[in-house]
Amino acid sequence: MKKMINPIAALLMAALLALGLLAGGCESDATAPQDPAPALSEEGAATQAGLVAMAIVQVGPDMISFSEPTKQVYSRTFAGDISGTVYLDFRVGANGVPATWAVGNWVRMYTGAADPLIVTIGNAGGTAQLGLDVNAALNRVDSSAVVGGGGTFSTGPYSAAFTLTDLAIASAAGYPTGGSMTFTGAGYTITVTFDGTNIATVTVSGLGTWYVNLDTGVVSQTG
Amino acid sequence: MFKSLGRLTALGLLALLALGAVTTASAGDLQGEIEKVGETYARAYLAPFMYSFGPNLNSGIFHTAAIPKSRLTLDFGVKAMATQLNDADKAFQKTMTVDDLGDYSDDPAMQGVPGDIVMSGPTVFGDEDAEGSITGYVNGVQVFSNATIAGLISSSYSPMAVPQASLGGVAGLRLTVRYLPEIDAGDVGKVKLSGFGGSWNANSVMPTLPVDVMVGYFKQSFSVGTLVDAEATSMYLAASRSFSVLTLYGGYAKESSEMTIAYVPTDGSAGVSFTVDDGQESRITVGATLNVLAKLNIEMGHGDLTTYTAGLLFGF
Repeated sequence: MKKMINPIAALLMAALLALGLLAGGCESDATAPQDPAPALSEEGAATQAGLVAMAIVQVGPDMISFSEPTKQVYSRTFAGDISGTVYLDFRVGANGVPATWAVGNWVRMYTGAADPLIVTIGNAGGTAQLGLDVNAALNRVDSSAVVGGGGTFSTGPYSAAFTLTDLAIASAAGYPTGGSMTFTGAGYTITVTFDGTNIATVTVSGLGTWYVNLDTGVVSQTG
Repeated sequence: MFKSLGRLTALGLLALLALGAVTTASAGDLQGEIEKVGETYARAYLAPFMYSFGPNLNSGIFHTAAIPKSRLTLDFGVKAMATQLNDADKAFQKTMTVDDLGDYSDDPAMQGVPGDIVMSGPTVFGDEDAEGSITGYVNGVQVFSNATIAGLISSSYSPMAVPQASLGGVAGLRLTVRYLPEIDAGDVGKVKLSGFGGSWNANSVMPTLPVDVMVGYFKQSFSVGTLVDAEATSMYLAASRSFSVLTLYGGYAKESSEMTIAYVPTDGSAGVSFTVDDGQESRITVGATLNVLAKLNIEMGHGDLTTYTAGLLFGF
C-alpha cells in the first residue's frame, strides 16, 4: 500500500492539507437560542405611548417654568421616576438668535445624544429611555407654550419614535389642553390626543381606543 | 529503549496532570456561575458547551485506517480538539410568555402578574466582562431587570483534550481507550473520563482494495462530580492511504451524545437537572498523520458543527 515519496513533499502536502482544513473550514451551526423579542400587542404599543405621554406631561412644563435669568446655557436635572438631564436653548423667534430665559420666546428642549431621560417603572429595575428634542413657541403673557418636535423611546428590545403636534401646555395647568402625539413603533401608529384633563385618548392605528392616565401612565380601555 | 519509554511515559503523565488541572479549575468556575441561575437560563447559557461537547469527544478517535493483520502496534498520547463556534453563540436571547412574573423577580408587585420574560447575555463562551440579564415586560414595558452572570471563557472555540492509547495488529483489529484517572476537583467532585472502542480493517479480507478501509465503534463517558454527566458514541467508516511518512484519511460517522447538567441553585430553589441529547448525529472527517519519530495528526470533522483535532502520539 505504501509508495515512496520525498519526505519534504510529504511535509508540504501535510501543511497544504492543514491550511486547507483551517481556511476552508465549514461554519458551525448556531446552538444558543436567539429568540426574537416578544411580539408587541396593540395594548403593549398603547402602553408604551401612554408612558411617553405621561413623561412629556411631567417634563414639558419646564420649558415655561424654568427660570435662571443670568445665563444663556441652561440645563435641568430631574430626579425621581423620571431622571436625567435636559438642555434648554432659548432663542428670540424659532431658531433665532440665542437669548436668555427672560428674553427668549422660543425654546428647544433636548437630551444629550447618548444620555436619554430614564423613566423608572416599579421598584425592581424596570426602565424606559426617552430621548427628547422638542421645541416650543413661548407665550410670556399667559405662560403657555405650543410644543412640536419629537424624540425616541426604548425599553429593552423595543424602540419607537414620536412627534408632537401643536401640544398646548401651560406652566400652571398640569395637563396639555390640546394637540397630539404620534407614536410609531413595532408596526403600530398611535395617536394620543390631549384635552386638558388627566386622561388622554390613545388610538392604535384603527385597531382600538385606549385611555392613559397622565398621572400614572396606566393605560386602560375605559376613560 | 527503556529510557526512551520512561521519558515518553513522563510526558504522558505531565499531559494528563495539566489536563486534570484545567478541567478541575474550569468545572469549579462553571458550577459557581450556573448555580446563580435557574434551568432555563442555564440551558441557554451552556448551549454552546453542551452541544460541542459530544462532537469534541467523538473527534480524533482514529488517525489511520491501516491496521496490520498480524503485527502488533501500540500508540499513546494526547488528542486536543476544538469545536468552532458560530459567531452567534457568543450570546443568547431566550424569551417566554409566563403567567407569573413573580417567579423571576423578588418584587412582591410582580406576584401573579402575567407578562414576558427576556433572558439575554453572554453564553459560557461569551464576553467575560458583560453580565446577562433576566428582564420582565408587561405590555411591552420593562418592569424589572435582574443582572445575571458573565461569560466564563471568551472563545470562538470549545476546547477539549483527552489522553488516548491504541493497541492493534491482531486479525486487523485495533482497540482504543481513553482514560483519565479520577481527579478530586474539590467541591465539584471527581473528574472521570473513560472510553473504549474497536476498529476492524477490512483489507484483511479484501486485500485488493486500493486504500485501507476500516469500520469501528467508540463509546465514552465523562463526568465531573454530580455537575456534568456526559456520554458519546460513534460508529464510523474510514479509509486512508499512506505516502511514505504521510497518511491521508477520511471517514463518515454516525454519532450521538448526551450531556446532563445537575446543580442546586444558590437561591435555595429546588435542584436543577436537564439533559441535552439532540446534538450532532453524523460527520465527515478528513485528516492527515505525519509519522516522523512521533505521530503528529491533524483532522477536521464536519457535521452540524466543525471540529478541529490535533494529536501527538508516541509508539510503534
